[in-house]
Amino acid sequence: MSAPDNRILQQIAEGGKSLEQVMQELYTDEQCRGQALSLLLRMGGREQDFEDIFQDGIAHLIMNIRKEKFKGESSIKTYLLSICKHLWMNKSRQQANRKTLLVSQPLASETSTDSPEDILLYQERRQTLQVLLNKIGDPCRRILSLWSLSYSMDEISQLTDYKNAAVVRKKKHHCLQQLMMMVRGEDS
Amino acid sequence: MSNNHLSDKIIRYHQGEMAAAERQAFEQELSSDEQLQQLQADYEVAQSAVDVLAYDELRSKLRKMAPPLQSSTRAASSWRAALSYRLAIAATVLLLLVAGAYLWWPTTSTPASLATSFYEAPNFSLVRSEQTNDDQLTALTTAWQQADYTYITQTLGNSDSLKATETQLLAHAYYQQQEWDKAIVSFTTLVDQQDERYAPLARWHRALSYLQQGQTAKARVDLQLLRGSDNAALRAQAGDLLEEL
Repeated sequence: MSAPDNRILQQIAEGGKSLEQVMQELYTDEQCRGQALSLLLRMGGREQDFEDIFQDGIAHLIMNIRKEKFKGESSIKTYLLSICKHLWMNKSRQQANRKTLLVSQPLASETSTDSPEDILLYQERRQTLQVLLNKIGDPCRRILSLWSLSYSMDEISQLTDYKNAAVVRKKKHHCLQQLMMMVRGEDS
Repeated sequence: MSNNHLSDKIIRYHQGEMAAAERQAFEQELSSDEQLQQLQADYEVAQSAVDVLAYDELRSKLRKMAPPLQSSTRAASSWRAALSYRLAIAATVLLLLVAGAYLWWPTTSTPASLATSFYEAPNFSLVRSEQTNDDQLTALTTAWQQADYTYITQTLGNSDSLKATETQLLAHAYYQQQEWDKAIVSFTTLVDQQDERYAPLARWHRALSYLQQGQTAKARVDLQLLRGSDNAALRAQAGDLLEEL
């Protein structure tokens, strides 16, 4: 892994403001944007699809790195391009409303290290968890999402209406408990 | 013990808020207590929901970073400028060809464009085999994931005896490089081996390669044979493509 890639991985794992900085960097990287756009156009995509696909790609990249699903067997940019490619393939399949041909034949086991097989993960999860997500109030949504991205309690209190870090910590705990109750069907 | 109290313990455990001794005791309790195990499962579902929220937060931040619609990066512009120039020339040539072709083939798609739209590049997973420990195959699949098709064709292109998986990689690498003749040769090798794990899909991709070359009749033969395949998805796709043709 190159030094720049290691730095990016570190900042993404760190989360918070550090993560925001690297997101900006990746999103505005001209070479990466150019390659992703070219790839999309070659695959029959349109320029107007690019921003959505690229943003989804970066979001997936970040989540995969934070969940330790990226094992570093390719560069981060290559991985990002691969994710964008799969996102586009899925989108174009949905648009064409074709049946999915089982093209991928795993050479051995299903477990792959840098494979973007869980590209659809967050879309699929959203469908399954939609009822749950609809019940969570906005304050809990905000706190839990920022906490999950490793913003400090101080940073979260600055970004939300809560008084200080201690209040945020308590609220986060309460939101998690509430979420677990909703999962059990015990929400009031 | 109430669910709320136990939920609290589960949350504290996962947040790293327990001292070492308490953590150890909790882990032992978790291994045998069904109520705790159910709450652990609830926590995992809750965590999945939090992951979706985090993903949405990232998308929201990225949306705010998006440049205005009219602007574009210099690199994207240069790619588009080069592409536009080539497309302009190709469009002129194509216009002349299509005008002539339309006299005897009044369809809206060419065989090659159909093949392109039906082709899906395989997602070759890395081999994890303790028996073979095949470093070369690992390097080849890595090259595939990095779109380094030249590496694959140079490594495998001159070999006489290839494993089926290697032949498959080589065939698709040729396809990606638009070397249709060579792709057809490799796909034919897989078809002739009659291994049910590879032959049907190889026949499908050979059909697409024939279409890229304009050999529609040969493609039709393969597609008709696939209409009798055991693979329902292949049957459907072959049927769809035959209808388009």
